[in-house]
Formats: sequence, C-alpha cells, structure tokens
Amino acid sequence: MTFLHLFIVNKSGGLIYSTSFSPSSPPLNTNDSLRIGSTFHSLHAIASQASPPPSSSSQNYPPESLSSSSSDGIETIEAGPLTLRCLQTPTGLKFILTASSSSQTSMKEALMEIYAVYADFAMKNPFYELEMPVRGDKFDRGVRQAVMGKEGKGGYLR
Amino acid sequence: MSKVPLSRTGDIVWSRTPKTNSELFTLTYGVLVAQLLRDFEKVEEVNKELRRMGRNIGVRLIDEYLSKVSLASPTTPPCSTFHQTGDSIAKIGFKMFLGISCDISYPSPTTFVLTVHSNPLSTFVEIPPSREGLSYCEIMNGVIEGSLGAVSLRVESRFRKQIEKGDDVTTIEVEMMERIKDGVGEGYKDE
Repeated sequence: MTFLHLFIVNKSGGLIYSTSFSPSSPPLNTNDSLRIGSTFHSLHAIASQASPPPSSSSQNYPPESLSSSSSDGIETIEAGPLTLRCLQTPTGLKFILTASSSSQTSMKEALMEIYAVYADFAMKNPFYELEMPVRGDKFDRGVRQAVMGKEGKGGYLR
Repeated sequence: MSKVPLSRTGDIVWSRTPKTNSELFTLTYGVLVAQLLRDFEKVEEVNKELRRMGRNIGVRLIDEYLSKVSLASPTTPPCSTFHQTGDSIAKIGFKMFLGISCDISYPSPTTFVLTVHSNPLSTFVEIPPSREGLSYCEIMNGVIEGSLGAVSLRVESRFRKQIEKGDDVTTIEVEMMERIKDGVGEGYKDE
C-alpha cells in the first residue's frame, strides 16, 4: 500500500496544508490542491445536508444543531485504484488522505495520528495563526513519521 | 455510551502526556497574574484579560483533547448531551491538562457544576483584601468557554466558590447558552 497525498481543509473550506508522500503520487501544483480541497469541502457539505437526520430520541442537544456532526458527510471514496479517506473533527477541520490499494483501518489510524501531530505542532505553536496555512518543519516531519508508521517504518507516537 | 469508563480514558491520556514540575507551573501562572495586576492595575481589567487569554488557549486546546482522546479510546462516541460533555470535561479534560479529576453535578439540563477539591493553579495563593475582586483562576472559565465554543457550543462559565477566597472547594458553573449554527448549511438553504 502507498499513501499518496494529504490535504487539510479548514472549516471554511480553505486548504491549509497539502503534501505528497510517494514518487508515484501524481504531481499536483498549488492550484490543483486548492481546487481539490475546496471541491471536496463543498461535496462534503452537500452530502451531510442530504443525509437523513440522526435519531433524535436520545439527543439532548437540539436536533437541527447536529448538522455539523462529525459522523456526517463523506468518509471514504473508492475510485478504482485510489482510496480517499476523510476525517472531520468536531472543530470542523477536515483531514483528507489518499492512497492506492490501502486498508481502511490503517488510513483511519494514520489520519488520527496526523490530527495529533496537528494538535502538537500547529495548535500548540504560539506563532501559528488559526485558520491559516500550516508551515513548519516539525509539522512536516511529524506527518511523515505518522504516515511511515502505518507503512511499517517507525511512527510518530511511541 | 462507551464501554470504557471516562475516568479510565482520562488516566490513559494522562499517562501519555509529558509532565512538568507542578511548582514551576503554579509559579509561572502566579507570575503571569502578578504581571497583569501591575500592567492593568484594576482587578476587573485583569479578570477580563485572564478570561480572554483562557479563551485563546481553549480554542487551541480542544484539538489536543479531541485527537489524544480518540487515539486513547477510539470507541468513545461524541457527546450527545450537555451532561455527557460535562462528564468528559470533569473526568478526561481536567485529568489530562491539570492532573486532577473533579466531581460533577447537574442542577438543570443545560447546566453542570464542576467541583475541584484542590486547584493546582492556586496552591500557594491567598488573595489580599486590597485585591478582593480578583478572580485568580479566571483563565479556567476562559478555557472552558473557548474550547466548547470551538465545537459550536456557546457556554457561560463562572465560579461559584473559590478556594483562594477561603471556600473549602472551587466550584465552576457552566451553562449552555446555544448551539452555534453551522454557517455553510444556512447559505445553501437560501439559494
């Protein structure tokens, strides 16, 4: 299995990070990445609007407010040799990972670790401005370690 | 509900969190408050500033909470009631960030009260009479408001009792005001 690309999209649909992992990743320029990020954001929003409302019997929160629930929207897309998996956080951030012939479990785990890397090296960096593009070597390294861990070569978390 | 008790999840996350010397932490916060008192002079201004700082911490802290908790306990479902949110804060949030867990009570469906028996922020603190109006740990209210605000819950958090003012425990009352609506959904409906 090979991981191809990672995109991170903020809650208003702006791409804040993108990277490729492998020499076999198709090359994407900045504009391509921005377009993929915002298109996916829109599709995700449409999907969560079109999905049936959650059963409200056990909900104490008003049901209409659950439109942004993290279980809504697009979780995976299977497109021939390409698998895309999205993790939406309750804070509205989307982590989108693509891979070729990869297992869903390892993609999910990789995304959760990347989220932890984001919490560590973006959110805890006092010079990182919220909602803005993430730049930083420590973040890059953390993401690579998390992904390599899922390919069986070390990892971000001990 | 998850099969793993929340306090167990709290312990797991706490065990994975890097630790610092608690005195260093307490004294650093003390220096911060003392400097704010010097800069602003009026205690009301200091309270406001501490709360503002807390909010800014909270909106960043919440991602740490969400990511580390889902790694420690992937089966924990998202909170579906405000009381579950309170339980998670009391048993996991306080544990992973302050190393303490607190008791919780529910006076109404939209309110919970956290009871803290020993507050690491104010271990050495006695408020002098001249600074009576100072809410020393006001930053905690800000953190709670900021972090829940980032997951679209507008809440108001305030102290009912404070150890550093002579009470036996610190109690924090958190009231839910509204769910912040998702902006994207609204726009689509209009078109």
